[in-house]
Amino acid sequence: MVDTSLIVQVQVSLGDFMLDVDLSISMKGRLAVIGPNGSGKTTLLKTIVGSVYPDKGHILVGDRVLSDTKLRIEVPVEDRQVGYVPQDYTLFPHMNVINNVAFGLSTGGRRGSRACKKEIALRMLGRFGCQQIAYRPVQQLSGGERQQVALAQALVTEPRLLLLDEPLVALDMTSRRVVRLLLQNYLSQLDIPTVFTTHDVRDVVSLADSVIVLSRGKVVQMGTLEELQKQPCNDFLVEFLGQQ
Amino acid sequence: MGTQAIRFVGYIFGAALLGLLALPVTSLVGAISVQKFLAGVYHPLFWPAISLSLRTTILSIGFVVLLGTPLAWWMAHQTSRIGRLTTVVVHLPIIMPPAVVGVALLQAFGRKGWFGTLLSAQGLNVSFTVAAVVIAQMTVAAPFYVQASIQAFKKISPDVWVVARSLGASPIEVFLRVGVPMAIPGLISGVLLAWARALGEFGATLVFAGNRVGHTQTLPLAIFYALESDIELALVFSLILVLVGLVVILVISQW
Repeated sequence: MVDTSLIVQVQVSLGDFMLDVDLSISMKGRLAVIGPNGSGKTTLLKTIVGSVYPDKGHILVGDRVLSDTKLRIEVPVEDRQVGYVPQDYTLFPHMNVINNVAFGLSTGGRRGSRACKKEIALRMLGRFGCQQIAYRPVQQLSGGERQQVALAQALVTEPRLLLLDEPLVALDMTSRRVVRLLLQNYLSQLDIPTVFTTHDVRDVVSLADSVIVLSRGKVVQMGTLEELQKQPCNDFLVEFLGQQ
Repeated sequence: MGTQAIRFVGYIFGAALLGLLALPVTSLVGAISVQKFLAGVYHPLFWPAISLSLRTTILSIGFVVLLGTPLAWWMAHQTSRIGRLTTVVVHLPIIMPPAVVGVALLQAFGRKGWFGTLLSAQGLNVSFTVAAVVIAQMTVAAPFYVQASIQAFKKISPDVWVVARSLGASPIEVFLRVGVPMAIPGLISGVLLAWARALGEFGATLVFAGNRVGHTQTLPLAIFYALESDIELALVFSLILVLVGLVVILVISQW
């Protein structure tokens, strides 16, 4: 039996745009989604997280159905157990770092004392080496710190899948190199599948074990980076790989 | 015409409008001595009117916030036809003359009005009571609050909602724990604008609630009342309303 942990087979139409994707990744798989602007990368992540509804198809994480249009199942975003970090590392500006991280521990009527939740949040920040910024307002964080706090926030609820939308795009070149190394380390320790979008081949080299190429909402090629390098399917991919 | 000449004409036009806006207020200030001001403040009409104005505006703005915040939240996320229709309904009182709002309120809540008949059957009478003052203020002030709140909610990136919900927050939790706190500056501006509008409300209140001294007479209605017998008293009351408005503008500009 194939150890498949994420299956996405969906068609989504947004006005004139149509996303038609069929992909699956394994338990600890790290999938990079690449493609030109407007190819549907973010729409794919939003469909998996549940903020965009598919017209047709299904999404499964492990044996759990998140969406199935035939069975009329559409699990609400809050019940999907999918961690999502958008491009700009969205944090809640009215909370400090630790309250941002602990937010997911107090939603949906989760039980536990406030002290206990803060302790868990602190431990999570510790995993990212960020305990010293726990009580700082998020407005005072650097780009790299924001990214780590956003990751800690997404992972503290122990999601079954992690989605990262261009995880390094908001950083300058120097921080990008440092954070990429950190991210490589974190993701390799995770026991859940990760899907991330990127425009940078270095992210693919460091973080992904497989890649899909989207063009106008369709998967035009998939495989490992080496496989893609052997036979790039379009000009975008040739240019993308040329960044190396 | 050269650039400098165009700029000069621009300055003149701007100054003319500024003068038009500032002149009435300045003439109001210039017309009142400290003695007259104090005499106005101690006049028997003043305290019942200002007290009713403050009590009713606090109540009406409280209701507007309670009912208007969830509505604004919903409207901020609507692109459907129903959303557009709701926008028109919410903005109607802004384009309707206040007296027309009063007539419409009478038609709806008056003894023989659509809803008023139902209330009358229960022994309740709204028109020409303090409740009518509150309803009139709510009707004219709500659009200002709802509009400011919609803008405040719209400023928040949609990603914030997705992140909050992906962390297990239900839509109501997202609204209460993320949406409202993040929109607070905009909501407060809305409250102050709506409050200033409610405090100055005249036409709808006059038609729907009447001008009964000590019962439904708010400060703007007291000005109208005083105008008929004591112009200086009307000037003092007007100045006090202007001062309250100025404080509101100053507070808003801080946000």
